Amino acid sequence: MKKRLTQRVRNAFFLTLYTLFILFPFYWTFLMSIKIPTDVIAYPPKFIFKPTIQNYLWTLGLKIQEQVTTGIRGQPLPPEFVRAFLNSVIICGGTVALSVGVGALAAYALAKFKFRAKENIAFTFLSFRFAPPLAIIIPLYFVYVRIGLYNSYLGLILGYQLITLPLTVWLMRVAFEEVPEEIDEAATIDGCNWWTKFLKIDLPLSRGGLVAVVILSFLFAWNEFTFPLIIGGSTTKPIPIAMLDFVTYSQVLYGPMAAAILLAIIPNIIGISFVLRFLVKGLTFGAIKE
Amino acid sequence: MKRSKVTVAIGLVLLITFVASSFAFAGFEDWNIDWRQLEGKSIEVGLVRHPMTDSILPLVPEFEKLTGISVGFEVLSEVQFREKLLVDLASHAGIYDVYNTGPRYSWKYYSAGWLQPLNSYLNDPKLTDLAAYDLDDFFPLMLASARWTGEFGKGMGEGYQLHVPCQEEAYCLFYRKDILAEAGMTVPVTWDELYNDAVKLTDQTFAGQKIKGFVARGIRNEGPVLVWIGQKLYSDGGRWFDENMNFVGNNPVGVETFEWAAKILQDAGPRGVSNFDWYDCMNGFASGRYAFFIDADHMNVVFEDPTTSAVAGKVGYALCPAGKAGRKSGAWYWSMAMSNYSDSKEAAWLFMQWATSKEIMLKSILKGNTDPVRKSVNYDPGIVKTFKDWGYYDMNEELTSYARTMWPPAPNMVESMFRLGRAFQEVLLKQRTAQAALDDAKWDIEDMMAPFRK
Repeated sequence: MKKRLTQRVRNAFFLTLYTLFILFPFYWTFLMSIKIPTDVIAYPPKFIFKPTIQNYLWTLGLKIQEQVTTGIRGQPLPPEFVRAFLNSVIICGGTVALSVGVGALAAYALAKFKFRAKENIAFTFLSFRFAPPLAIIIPLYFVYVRIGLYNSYLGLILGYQLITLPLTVWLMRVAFEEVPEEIDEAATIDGCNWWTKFLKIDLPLSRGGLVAVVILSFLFAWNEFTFPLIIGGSTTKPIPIAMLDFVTYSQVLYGPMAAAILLAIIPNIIGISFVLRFLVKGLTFGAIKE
Repeated sequence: MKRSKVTVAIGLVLLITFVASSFAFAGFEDWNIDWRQLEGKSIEVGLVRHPMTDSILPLVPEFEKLTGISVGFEVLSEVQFREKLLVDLASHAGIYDVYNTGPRYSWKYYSAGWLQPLNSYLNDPKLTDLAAYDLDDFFPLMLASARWTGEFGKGMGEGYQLHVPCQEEAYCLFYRKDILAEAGMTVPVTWDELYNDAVKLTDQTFAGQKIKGFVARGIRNEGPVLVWIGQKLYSDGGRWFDENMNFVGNNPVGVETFEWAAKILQDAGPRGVSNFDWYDCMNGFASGRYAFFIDADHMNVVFEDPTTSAVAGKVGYALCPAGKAGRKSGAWYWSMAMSNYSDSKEAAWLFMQWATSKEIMLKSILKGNTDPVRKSVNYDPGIVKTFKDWGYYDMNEELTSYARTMWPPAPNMVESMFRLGRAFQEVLLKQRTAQAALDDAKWDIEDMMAPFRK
């Protein structure tokens, strides 16, 4: 009993330490986001200082640019953060919708049907992820500029499929395969064709997999850098590219950058904590007798 | 009564708007070209996130109103912009009509056929009012570094006008006036004095802060070689390449320079300096942690602004110390160049001409776009006064006799400077001797240059 208590204390201690280790960067970023520039660069680092919300106001474009009338003063323009945020939401939402819509059907076919070259097709999907984006970006850019997809939401959503579609197809395939064949057979006896089986039986039963796919695709899309850098332009700039605006040629705007980072992770945190509730295991336990 | 007040108010607003707008355009409408000749065209400009960019973006509607040309923008930070520009140029897609670049990079772009030289536009009286644009108003060395005949290793200052400069960066010695006064030191005038002073000040406490004597970039890229190590090499009479473009940086002067540079960072620099890029050094200096710092002189805007610097008013500026051959410095000029794949080159030139005109350059320096490229801007009374208040040195001396593009033009100069940066890092981290690191660099650099040798 005593031994167990010490063990628990020790576990709690190390877990607390680990949590602090994980959370410290966020704490540090938060501190930076409420500091004025001279406090950000102060050495030794300041933990007690007069906080400011100017960084947030500036990042969101709410701070009125002060007019400097005398002398030479650096006056960086505020970043288009709000616009970038909306761009990110549109692009990532579209990407996930498209890749789940198309990918789930493809995965269903790969999981449930028998046809020629099935494994080759599945492998082809996976092979989209083999080459690093830089290997295909120049031809892709060239094609996009020619056919007018450059700097458009549709173009970016299509481009992002290279990242999210293989993931969707392979994860959903595994999820569909986990639905026991007997359930499908029972549904067939009850008069389902493959489409109703997909909609009413297999998709609801693979909800866990679907949720995982949505979360992962969204995260990958939200953090994608190379594609929007090259095939996106000034009006479709998503957050990872807008984040660069804080690195100017003459200074790095650490305060606003930290504010932007914290604002940018909000949707991820909300989205994931909301969606995690759907990650329920064992929906099919006991559905069949073996 | 009330109504007449409203009328008067409206009248006043209209009058002010009219006066303000006519004031803003007065300069350009007097130019002896038809600004509206390309009305209806549109251009796309690719720019680096830079004070110049921040200052001209709000003015672009004025340009659009003046010319009827619509201007689209893409602004990215330096490294990412170069990557995207490379993709745009290499794929011949031609999204950007105008882009930011400078010497070294423009040599590569021109050699690849990606850059449209500007001579035919400059000499076309229909497109350029040379009298108002006034090429002679640019500092001469700056304009020279934007010209090249295209010959390997020579011909800089002649031939094609590859780009027009919009910001200048030479390399200077920043020092803390208060620290030197307290320690009873004067500003070092030789490299050995700098080393000795920096080592003496290291780990001493000034104004309640324990400081290091010296900081400069130590990161593994082209930076350290370009912004401070090179200045010592040139001032000691050394050079990277001889007339025939053979790499001679591994001769005794080069080896001694690398050894000196590694030693000053090891003995007087901060821990982890081999990872320091410009912003690490700059922020550290602005927070008061270092006594000496060599880097780009336009950081003066950051150091003199009390909202971004804890040492505002305490920073002194000097040209880099002298070596056996006097004071010398390399330089970099942010410029605007035209893409060869642009489909509206004439409109692009009108924009470039407008953006680098005297009027716009003066407006842009007030928003932090130091250092000036035009004499008229440098000698503007307001600018002269600000520089004087800062205790800044005479730009004219710097820009006419001190700073210039010190390396010969070659398409692969960018890569060779990166290779030298790698060699310096090896020396700094004590992995190899300076001689061995530079000997190795020589082989790689000669390989890089070989394809362009005729």
